[in-house]
Amino acid sequence: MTNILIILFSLTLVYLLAAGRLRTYSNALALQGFLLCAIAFKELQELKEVNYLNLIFIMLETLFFKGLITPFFLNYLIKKNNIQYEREPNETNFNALIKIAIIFILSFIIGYKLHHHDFNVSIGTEDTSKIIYFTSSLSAIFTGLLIVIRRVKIITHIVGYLVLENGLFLLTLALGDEMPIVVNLAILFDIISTTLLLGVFVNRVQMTFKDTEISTLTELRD
Amino acid sequence: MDAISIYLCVAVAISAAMFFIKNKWINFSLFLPAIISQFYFLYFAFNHRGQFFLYYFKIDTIGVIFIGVISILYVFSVFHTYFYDKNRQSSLHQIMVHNSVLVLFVTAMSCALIADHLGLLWALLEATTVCSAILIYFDRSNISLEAAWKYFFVCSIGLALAYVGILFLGIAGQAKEHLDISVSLLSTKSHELSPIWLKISFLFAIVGFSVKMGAAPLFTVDIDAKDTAPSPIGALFSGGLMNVGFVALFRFYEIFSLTEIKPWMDKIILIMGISSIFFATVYLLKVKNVKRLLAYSSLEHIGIALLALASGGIGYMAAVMHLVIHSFVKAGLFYQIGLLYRTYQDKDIMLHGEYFKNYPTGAVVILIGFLCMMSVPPSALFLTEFYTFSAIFQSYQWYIGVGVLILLTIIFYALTKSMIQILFAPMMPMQSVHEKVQPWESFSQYVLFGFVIWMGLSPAQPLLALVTDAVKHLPK
Repeated sequence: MTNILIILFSLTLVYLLAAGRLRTYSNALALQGFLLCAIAFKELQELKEVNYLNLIFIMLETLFFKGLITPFFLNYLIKKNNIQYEREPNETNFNALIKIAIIFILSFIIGYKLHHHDFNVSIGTEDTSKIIYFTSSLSAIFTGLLIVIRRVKIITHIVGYLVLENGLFLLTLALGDEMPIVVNLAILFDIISTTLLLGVFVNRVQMTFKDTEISTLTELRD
Repeated sequence: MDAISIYLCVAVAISAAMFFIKNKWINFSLFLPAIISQFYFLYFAFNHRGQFFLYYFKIDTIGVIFIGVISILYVFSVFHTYFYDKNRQSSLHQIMVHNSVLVLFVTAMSCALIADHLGLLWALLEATTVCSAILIYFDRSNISLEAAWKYFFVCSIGLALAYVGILFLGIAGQAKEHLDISVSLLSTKSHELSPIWLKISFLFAIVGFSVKMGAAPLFTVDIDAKDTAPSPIGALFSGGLMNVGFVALFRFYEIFSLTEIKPWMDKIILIMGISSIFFATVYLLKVKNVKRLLAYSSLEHIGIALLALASGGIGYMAAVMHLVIHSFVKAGLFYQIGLLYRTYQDKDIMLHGEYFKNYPTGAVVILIGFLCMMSVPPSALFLTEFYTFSAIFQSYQWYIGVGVLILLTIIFYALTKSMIQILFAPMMPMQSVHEKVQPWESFSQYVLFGFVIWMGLSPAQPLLALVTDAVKHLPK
């Protein structure tokens, strides 16, 4: 079941990379939040010693912060700044699919080689599960970075950062119960404040430069 | 409640009070309890080295050394912030936000220096990023908005990569005995972990932390930040935040130094150090903005510290000492550049000139500061660079030593040219002196440079003992 959820999470990455409408981004991020919540629930429930406090905290984090608050905040920014589409030159769905396919293959090879050095030896169920986790989270990290590099709207850069953070969250889940709740809390607090402050800066950039494209920020030079 | 809890509570309470109190004098006077609390924390940390607090903090000597540096610079930065606000006629709202965030910034940096859990270290570094972005945006100008956005975004991405490194280390630790990702535990067990995981973890961590260190590859936003932030904050970036980034890397170095990947790790740090010095050389030759000049010089000095760390032996001590001394030199120069800006109302070096005639007290500061920064004796940076090159030549890497010496000679030329332009070149006809700065405003710079020269003439034994203690567990 967990594996199916993780594969669904990976499919949202295809959706994100091919999307052009900003609403699509916020919807995909909301979906990722709910999927991460389900994955976290399944994963932490299966541990030998369940830390219920940690479980509840992570469920709330994914469901409320990643699934509801962040997409809501993104929608607010989209509406306030009246931005409908990402403007990226020469990007077709076919190109996006090729890119995401390369990301998946690359992540799989890295994950496989790290967990299992020899391609010729068959692997066990536990290793398979770890590789699926690893491939999916690494793909999300690479996809996030690609969105940040390739897209031109400042708001899409935030989307790229959030996708990257979701990949990191999935990788953290691979650690199971190892992250103490205090540390999880500190990390969550940072991510919330980062997202909010990035949003504030988007508004400021729009007000100051009358544009929301990264190409307007070119005043700093030697 | 132990001292660290009290320190954290006091900092948060003072910060909150500063955010809401609308009386300028009361707001500013709250820095007094904040500074007392900071020095009490330093005193406590000094006397409790090697002990754990709140489960996730462990006080060690390198942390204490850099908390000491931050505490001293905190006092001077607050002093200069007062005059900065007064001169710029900053609005009450700007002052309230700035003061409040400054307290949190110093607290986050100090706590990051003693964080034992790598996840918490990451969270505290991210907290310094949030605070830095707000501090950079102090002027509310277009350029400060651009710098704040770029710094905040690139730092967040860089730290996310560092977090991948931490998680990889966690996964490697999980494969063996479910190890917690704390420095104290991993440094004793790291030799049992898979080298391939350790290598990938280190690569991600070093790239991620480079954004905080202001070293190559992710140094560009750090330069923008130091240029755009108010001078007292630029001093804290160069003298405090850079060291925090270095300590974050040092934690990974501590963990991996007893494993088989150490020679490989040294090579990576060496490449990072050389490329930092190379980029600094290229940019210093063409830079016209005096604050960016100081920022690129910081890039050079972090490169030297990384070279020292990678060379091992006496290089470990030289690296830590170099950063301590550099912090004082660079902070002093940033404070003085703030005063220089008030005189000429411009950061362009070509529009400065005749500083000796216009403000002799400040001109002497610039002269001593630049000579110290260029590691001319009796600056203590001369000694640390001497030991760095000793370590490089002792590790049989003479070709690297010679190459870096050539780059440093070019940097010496570029810095001397700028210094002469500021101090002695005739002023442009359209340029005028906007403000006569009071000589006593340069007092703090004399104190800082006095310490640097004293350390160069007769290195203080207690500080040397602390530095030796900080690196004693690293392999020779």
